Amino acid sequence: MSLRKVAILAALGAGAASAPSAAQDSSAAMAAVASGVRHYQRLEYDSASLYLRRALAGVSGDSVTVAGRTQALTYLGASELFRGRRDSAFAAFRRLVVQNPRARPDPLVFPPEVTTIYDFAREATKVVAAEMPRDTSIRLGTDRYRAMLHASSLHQIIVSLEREDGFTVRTLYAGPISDTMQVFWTGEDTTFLANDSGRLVFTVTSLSNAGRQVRVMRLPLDLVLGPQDTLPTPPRLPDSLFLPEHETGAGFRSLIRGAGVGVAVAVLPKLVSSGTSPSGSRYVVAGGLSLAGFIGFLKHRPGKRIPDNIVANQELRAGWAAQVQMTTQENAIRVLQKRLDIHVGPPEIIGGTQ
Amino acid sequence: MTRPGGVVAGLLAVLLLAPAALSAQRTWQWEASLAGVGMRVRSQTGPTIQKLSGAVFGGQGQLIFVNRITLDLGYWQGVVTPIAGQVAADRDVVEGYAQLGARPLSWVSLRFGPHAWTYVSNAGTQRWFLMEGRARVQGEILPEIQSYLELWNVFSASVNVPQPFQTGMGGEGGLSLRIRNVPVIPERFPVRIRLGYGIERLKMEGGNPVSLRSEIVDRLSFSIGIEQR
Repeated sequence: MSLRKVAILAALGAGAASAPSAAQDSSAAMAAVASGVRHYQRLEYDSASLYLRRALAGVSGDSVTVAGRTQALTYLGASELFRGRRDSAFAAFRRLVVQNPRARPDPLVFPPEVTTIYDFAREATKVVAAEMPRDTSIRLGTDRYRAMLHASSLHQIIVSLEREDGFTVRTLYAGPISDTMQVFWTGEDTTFLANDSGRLVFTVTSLSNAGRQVRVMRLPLDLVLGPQDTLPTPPRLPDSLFLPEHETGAGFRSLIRGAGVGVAVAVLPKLVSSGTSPSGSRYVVAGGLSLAGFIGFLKHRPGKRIPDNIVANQELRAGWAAQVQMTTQENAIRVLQKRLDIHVGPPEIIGGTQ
Repeated sequence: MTRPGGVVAGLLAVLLLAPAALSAQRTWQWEASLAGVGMRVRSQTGPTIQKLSGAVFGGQGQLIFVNRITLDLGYWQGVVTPIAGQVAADRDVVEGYAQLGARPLSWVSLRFGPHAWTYVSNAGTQRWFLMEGRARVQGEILPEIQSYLELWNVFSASVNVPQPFQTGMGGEGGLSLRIRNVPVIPERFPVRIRLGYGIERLKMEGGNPVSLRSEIVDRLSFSIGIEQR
């Protein structure tokens, strides 16, 4: 299959699978990217290359987004390849790797010729991108600050923290990186900071196979040391949570439910059929009810202590006191600990293809 | 005479308007018990009064759906004989009821339905078929002991005697003891012992005092059964 036929198939695939819509982004630069992609899909590689380069150069006065830049460089590399300019394609893909080491041309959209030259470019470009929270806080002595590193290809790196004057405060890692790795920092090197604030530089140095520095990425870390937040003291327990510790009206209720119903049973014949002579058996029931009511009254007489409720309330109070004590202890520890606020500034790249 | 349909509609309205506290309740609850009833009957027909007493035995039960709808069933049979000094024939008694009800509140229940009994004697068979509406309140005296008081009215009656039905009403009160946490009694099926006293009067009148007929039945009941609540 000729290179041109491959390009036609690739363009059709690209059109079906990933053709972006210019309507999604109204900026002129993104419109230029969309035009470049459209021309690429029509196999007009010269004009596609022109549009994409204009978008990347910011000729229209604004710049493309990070995602737009990735897309533009991918299509630019493919366009240059199909124009027969392998070196330009290689250079475009190198720029793509530097900008985003994790980006890959979609193999469903681009033919193997494109992905192969991209792989060559990636292998030849030793770049690391760092992914870290822009603003965060860690507790000194407890937490660790985490940086996620993404490498374009296998190479040696040195990750260190430096002062602004270039003095290395701590080397966090020195060794190979193939794809992704995490680097941690406990923040303890900040104890020297004057006025509890200052700046360190997070530096990732990429080395060539010969051990020569090829690229240095410097990320300024603005640091502020402060006291750690303390826990609020647990609020006092509301009275509604406590059970009554002394009987109030339960005894009277028992008396009414017992003796009261007993009296009702005793007078029931008068209510239902007055003037007759009902059996005396009702007094057995009335007596039983009255006796039960009286026992209930004695058991729950007003003012009598309720031991179960007293125990339950004591447990509730003890639980609250334990919470207060735990909070006090935790706060005593936190007062001794410090909190480190970290703000990451814009990266500075030295060497390599920027 | 009050129309039974109206009473049923009223019961349903009360049920629907009652606050729903159905969560954490079993869908079905029930209780069943064996009962013995000491019965005293006073039958008056014009100037003639017959007094009889005896015992009937049987069982009763209740089915409760979502703690709101109830179905009460009961059946007894036995013999009542004339009390000392009375001249009357012995009567075989067969009695039963099937009533549908509602519990709008945990301490109030209402029910409505037929209550029937039959006297069989040498003189013939007398059938009483009543439609009753009952209201019951119950309360806890002690955690294990409950009291209850029930009043009812007879809305209609069909009796095979010449006089037409005039009025009827009754009442019952008593106490029940619930036994659980005893080794021989399964925890899921506590035993309930109930003692109650009730009295009911029905009047039928033919238009003149000579043909006045009234029936007064008082009952001392004792039952023992199990329940699942």
